[in-house]
Amino acid sequence: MNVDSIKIILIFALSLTSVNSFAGLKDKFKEQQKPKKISQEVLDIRDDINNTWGAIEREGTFYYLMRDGRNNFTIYSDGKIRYKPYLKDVFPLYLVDNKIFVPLTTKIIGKTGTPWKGKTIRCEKKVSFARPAPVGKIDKEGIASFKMEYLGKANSTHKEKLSNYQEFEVNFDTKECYATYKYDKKSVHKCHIANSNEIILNHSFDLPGNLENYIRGIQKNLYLQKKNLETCKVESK
Amino acid sequence: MKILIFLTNLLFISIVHSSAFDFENLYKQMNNDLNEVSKEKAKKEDDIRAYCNSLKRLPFTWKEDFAKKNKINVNSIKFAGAIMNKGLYGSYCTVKSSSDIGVCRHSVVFINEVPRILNECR
Repeated sequence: MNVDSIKIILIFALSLTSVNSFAGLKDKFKEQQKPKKISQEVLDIRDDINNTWGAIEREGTFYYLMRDGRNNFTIYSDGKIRYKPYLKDVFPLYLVDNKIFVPLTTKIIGKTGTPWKGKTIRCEKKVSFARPAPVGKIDKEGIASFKMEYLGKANSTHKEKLSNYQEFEVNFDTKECYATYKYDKKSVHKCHIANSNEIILNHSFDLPGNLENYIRGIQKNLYLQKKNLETCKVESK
Repeated sequence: MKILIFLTNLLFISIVHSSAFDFENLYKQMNNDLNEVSKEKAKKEDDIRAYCNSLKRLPFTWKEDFAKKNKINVNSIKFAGAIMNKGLYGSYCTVKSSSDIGVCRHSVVFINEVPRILNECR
């Protein structure tokens, strides 16, 4: 075997290796492109979460709970400054079958996971939905007394403000609403409760931002989306 | 005939009622789930507290990073205590250091249950 033939063999071997590695990457790329399978158990839980919200939205009433804001001022075109009260810290709750549910934002990621009706869901990549957190029931007098202990909700931008509250007392018929602050339990403040129709009709409510976008944002975040669900597992106890 | 209509109506009502969503059960189930979440949260807080109380010195690699970041002498960095704090969203651990740049407070974060002292000076 002379030097030239050795060179030819070497070149041939090298080219084979590169073809092989290329084929390997190609296969890997093809594999990557394939949609990853979501387990049936995960899909069942997703359907259950989404059906639950469907039932709450269908059979319940969506309310806004608001607290009185500080006095705000508006400069009118005539140059005068007028003060008017405005309502802030709007957050949603659902009244269904005399029970109050608050959308509690739940993120599933990492080892801990989150329970859903006794089963635990664990996801490697972030998956989020809103849990219908039960906060209270309406009593025989038509009053609902509840503590807002859960700090999350569908629209997490109001998370911090919501945590200022400790206790609520709401009459959904007369729309009377009283609340205490978390760090000032002695003083009681008036709050406001209204459903979406009432809030649009009542112009004295000066809502922050665009109401329509706000509602859409809340409702969109209730449901469990398909994204990253392939990284999830379900464990039964 | 009237009996037949009555029975049909009765059947229809029972079907409608049986397919209605059971909110009472949902209320109970969600309460149970949230109790689980609270237990898990309490366990997590216990782990954070245990880690915080066990801290007696700063890891040398952490000191090296902190010294490099702030362009100070690594030997000037001293452990000045670790305390548990109560925040809006639960308890957390803060580590204090004293060095050439003064006294700093550092947050401790848990990534996949592994504690990490952040080297940002607060």
